[in-house]
Parts: sequence; C-alpha cells; structure tokens
Amino acid sequence: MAPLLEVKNLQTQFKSKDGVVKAVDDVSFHIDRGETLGVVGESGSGKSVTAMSILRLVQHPGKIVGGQVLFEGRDLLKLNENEMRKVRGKEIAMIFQDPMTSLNPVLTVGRQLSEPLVTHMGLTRDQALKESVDLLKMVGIPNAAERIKNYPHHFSGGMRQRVMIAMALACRPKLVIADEPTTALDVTIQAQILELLEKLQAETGTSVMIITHALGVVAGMADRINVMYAGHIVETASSDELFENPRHPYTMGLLKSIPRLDEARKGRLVPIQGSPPDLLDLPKGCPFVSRCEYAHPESETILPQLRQVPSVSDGNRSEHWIACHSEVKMGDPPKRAAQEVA
Amino acid sequence: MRRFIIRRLLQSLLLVWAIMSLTFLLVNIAPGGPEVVLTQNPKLTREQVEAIRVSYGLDKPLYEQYVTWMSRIAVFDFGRSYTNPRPASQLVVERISATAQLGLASYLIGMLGIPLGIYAARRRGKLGDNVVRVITVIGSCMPVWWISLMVIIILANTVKWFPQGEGTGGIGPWFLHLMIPAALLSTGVLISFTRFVRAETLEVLSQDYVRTAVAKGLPGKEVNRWHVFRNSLIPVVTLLGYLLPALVSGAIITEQIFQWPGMGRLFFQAASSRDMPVLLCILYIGTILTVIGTLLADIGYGLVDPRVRYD
Repeated sequence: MAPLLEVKNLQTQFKSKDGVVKAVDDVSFHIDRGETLGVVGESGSGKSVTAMSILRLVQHPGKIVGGQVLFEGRDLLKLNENEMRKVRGKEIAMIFQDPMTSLNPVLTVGRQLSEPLVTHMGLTRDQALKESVDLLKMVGIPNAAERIKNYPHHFSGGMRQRVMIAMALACRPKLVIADEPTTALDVTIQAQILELLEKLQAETGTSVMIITHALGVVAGMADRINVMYAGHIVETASSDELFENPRHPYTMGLLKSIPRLDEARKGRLVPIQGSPPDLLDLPKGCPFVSRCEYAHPESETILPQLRQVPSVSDGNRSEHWIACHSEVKMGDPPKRAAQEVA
Repeated sequence: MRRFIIRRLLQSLLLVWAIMSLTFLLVNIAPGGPEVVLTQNPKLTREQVEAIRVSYGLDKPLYEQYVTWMSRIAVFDFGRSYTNPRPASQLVVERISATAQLGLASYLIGMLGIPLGIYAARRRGKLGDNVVRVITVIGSCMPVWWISLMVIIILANTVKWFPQGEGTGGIGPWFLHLMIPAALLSTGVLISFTRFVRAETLEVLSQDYVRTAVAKGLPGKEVNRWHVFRNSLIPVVTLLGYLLPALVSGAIITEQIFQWPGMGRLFFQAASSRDMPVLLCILYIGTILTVIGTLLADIGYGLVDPRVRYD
C-alpha cells in the first residue's frame, strides 16, 4: 500500500543578504499509516523546516524551491491556498514547540479548540464547544467543562501543551506533526506528554511525525527514525536498528554523547567535536566531514547519497539507509582526529 | 472592576489637586507675579495699583490666596479675567463647543491611522507600505504650524477652495470650515496611530499563535480578525486615551493659525496678556481631560485584554 505521506526531493531555502541557506536540501522520506516517525537532529539541521514545508507554513524569506509532498497521492505543493487550508488542521495537524506562546492569549481555550471544528467539520459554535469539553477530557484535563471558559494564562505549560494536543486531534487528522512537543517543558511533564501522545495515537490510529533534538525522546516511541544533519537525512532505520547498529558517524556521535542507564558506567560521555557547518558556506562534499572521525577521502569532495546497508536487528526485514562513504560500526577506532572548526 | 474605578477616581482627584497646586505655585513665582499686566501701566499711581491688587485679592499672603483659590476652583470659579470684566470660567466655557467640534473631528480623522497601519503591515516591504512610511516620516518631520500656513496660503488664499474661520449657517459651510483645521490638527494623531498599529501588527504577525491559527486551517479572514487584530489593537486602546488631551494642547497652535474661536486660541491670548484666571481655567480642563484619558485607557485595557484584571 502506498504510504500516507511521501516526501520526495524536498528543497526549502532561505534567501538572505549573505546568500542562500539550503535549510532542507533534497530530502526524501515517507510515513506509513499508523506509523510514528521520529526526526532527530540538532538546531539548524532542517527538521522543523521540513515539517513546516509539509504544511506549507514556511514564512518569508523561506521558500520551497523543489520536490514533492505527496499526501495520499496528492502533491500538497501543487494545491491552491484554499485547498491547502482544508488539509491544515483536518488532514494534517501540528503541535508546536512552545505551548506558552502558541495559544492566542485573548481567546478562551474553548473558543480556540472550537475553531477547527467549526471550520472543518461544519459544527455550530455550541456543538463545537461541547466537543471541546470532550477533547479536553481526552487529554486528561480535569474539570473540563469549566476549563474551556478559561484563557491560556490560566493554564500551566504542561496543561497548555495538552490543550495544543487536543486541538491538533480535534478533527481526527490522519497525520499529526509534533515539532519538539516537549522541549519547552519540565522533564517530569515531558514524560507525561509523551505518554499521552502515545496513548492517543494508539486510540486514534493516526500517524505521528515527532521532531526532536533528543534521541531519548523518540527512543521508545518512534517506529522509525530519520537523523538529519545540515539539511540532509544522513541515516534512516527502524528505531531498534538505529540504537543497536548505528552506521553513520554522526548518529554514533549522538549516541556516544548521551548517558545510558542500561549500561555500566564505563567512563566519560564523548561529545561530537567541532560545531555544525555554516549553512551559508557548506563544504562541497559531506557536510559532516570536518567533524568526522571516520572521514573517507572522497568525503571532502563528493556529497554522499543515501545507500542501503544491511539491518541486523530484525534479520534485514526493515530498511536501513545511510549517507556516508565509509563503512564503519560503533566502536571502530577513529581513522583521524576531527579537525578543529574555526 | 467597580472597586478599581472608584479607587482610580479618588487617585485622580488627588492628582488633579497636586497638578493644580503646582500650576498655581508656578504662576505665582513667575517674574512679576500674576498681576504684572494689571500694574505695568505707567500712568497708574501707586494707590491705584494697590486698589487693583486688593480687588483681586492679590495683597493677601500667598497661602491665604491659595486656600481661597482652591476652594473656589472646586466649584469651577476662577475669578474675574484680568482683561475682561466677566468671570474667566464663563469666557472659557463659551469656547468649549468650538474646540470640541474641532477636537472630535480631528480625533475621528486620526483614527484612520488604524486601518492605514494595518494596511501597511499587511503589505510590508511592498509599494503601499513604503508610501505610507515615507509620508508618515515626512509628516512627522514637518511642524504642524508650517503645514497649516502652507495650506492656508495655497488652498484658502490662492486656490480659494476652502474658507477661513469658523463656519456659520448650514451644515455645509460648517463642514467646509471645520475640515481643513481638523485634518491638520489630526496629523500628529494620525501618524502616531499609523506607525503604532503597523509596528504592533507586524509584531503579532510573527507570533507563534498566529502560526498555530494558520496551521489549524482557519480562513485568512478569521486568522486576521481573531488572532492578529484582536491582539495588535490592544495597545491602541491605551493610545486612544493618552491622545485625548493632545487634541486640546494641539488646538492651541492650530486654532491660532486658523483663527478658530475655541479654547486654544483663548489660551494663546490669555498667555500673551498674562490673564492668569483664564489660563488656569483652561489648564484645569486640560488636566482633567488628561486624567480622564488615562483612566479610560486603563479601563479599556481591562476590557479587551483578559490577562489584565483589576481586582
């Protein structure tokens, strides 16, 4: 069966005085029905811009300059603004990073929850408000019937993110994109929100694309993970496979830099040397080359394309792709020290 | 809310009292004192000057004068004008209507700055926005009195499109007479509104909740009305209140230039002839307008922004 969402060769660029920033450069991936896709990468790796591009929310001076976003076979990039509007919130909904600023401060929570229901489902204001009460109950907000009359400032950060989730799920979308849904929250609340997302996904069967800079967030939740770096997908594999058998040096670096509870304390955490490349001035070859401990001679000049590698965790049933010239595994001795990036 | 308003009204009374006391003091420490106009005629003998001072109560010690003055302005009695045998308050009250007409008309014209600012913000960086920005910058660089004189010379004297002075007769001539001074008096308010609303709207357009509204698939009209303007116009409410007294103070120059028979022109005349009772009476009205404007701004803020609560 065709995937729910298929992104092909997506390119999104930002024009600035100093040049063109290729925030998303030739990115392709897919999401199946009911699947949870994790997208991991550091700030500026293009993960949020990818999400924004799917819903065509990229703001000036950003522009989608190429590729396709096929949702149930329709190319969203070819729809007119009115058709696109009917996709937003109804077919694909989005949860944003900062719940403190993502809700309108002067409208009641009930009113904001009602809006998509009135717009997309043709409900009256009263029906939509009743439905909003159920939505708030669904995300675990007590005393929902009273709470819909409150304004966002009456809610804590975690509660507001629950409201955002309720709002995203209001029209039973087929895909929910969660852009760093827990980054702005306390650690204890983060766990609650992730649990809630998982539970609701199981109940509604919606697909989820969860974007994060923390591998730990998606570890237990995602079926598959895309790792992004400098606008490219550098590795994609099933969640288990990625943690068990990372093949891209960047992914390995990420895994080495986070503490693990399931292993004995062997020593220090190893950070990735250097800093991400300047997106205005990307190297000709692999964007990770200057920080890479395993850099291949070709990496300096040739941009590696995604290639399939055998996946070990489940007997090669799932696909595992990396964009790297080298053949290395976790624990291999480094071929060279990473260059210091000025 | 009611408790807040009562408390604010009491505070306002105190404020008016303080401002008026200070004004009284300033007038009295000015060189020559308040009676300089009455006494500077060289033909008056010492006895005649003294008689005049006694008739206005200026011979008494300052604190005594202050107490009498305060108790009288409480009932809106500012004493006799120095240049006119009638009571100062009467002279001023006669002029309120003319100034109010001018002020209200220019206030309404000034509010056109709200749609203008929204328009500029929505066309940011495009031709329409640049035209609005250039005109507002030029407008705020040119003094109103200079623009007014140019308008009089060109429109009234040379082209003779508009008459001068206050209109008499039907509504047509009244409107013709009112329009030009009102438009010129409004320039400051208009420019403030335009630039303020433009900046606020741009600020709100970049807010996360506007992106949320778009991501929900709401029609553009809904997004603009409930998520952009509903937020960007909140501070305008404040400005509406604060700019209220500016229309009276602005009228001083405009009325003088256009020979408009209002309070502003009376103020100018009173200041030139050191007619202190009249001057103080107009300042009193200005003070009260300022206090009311601020109070209205605060109340308005509480009505439009749910985050502001006064209890």
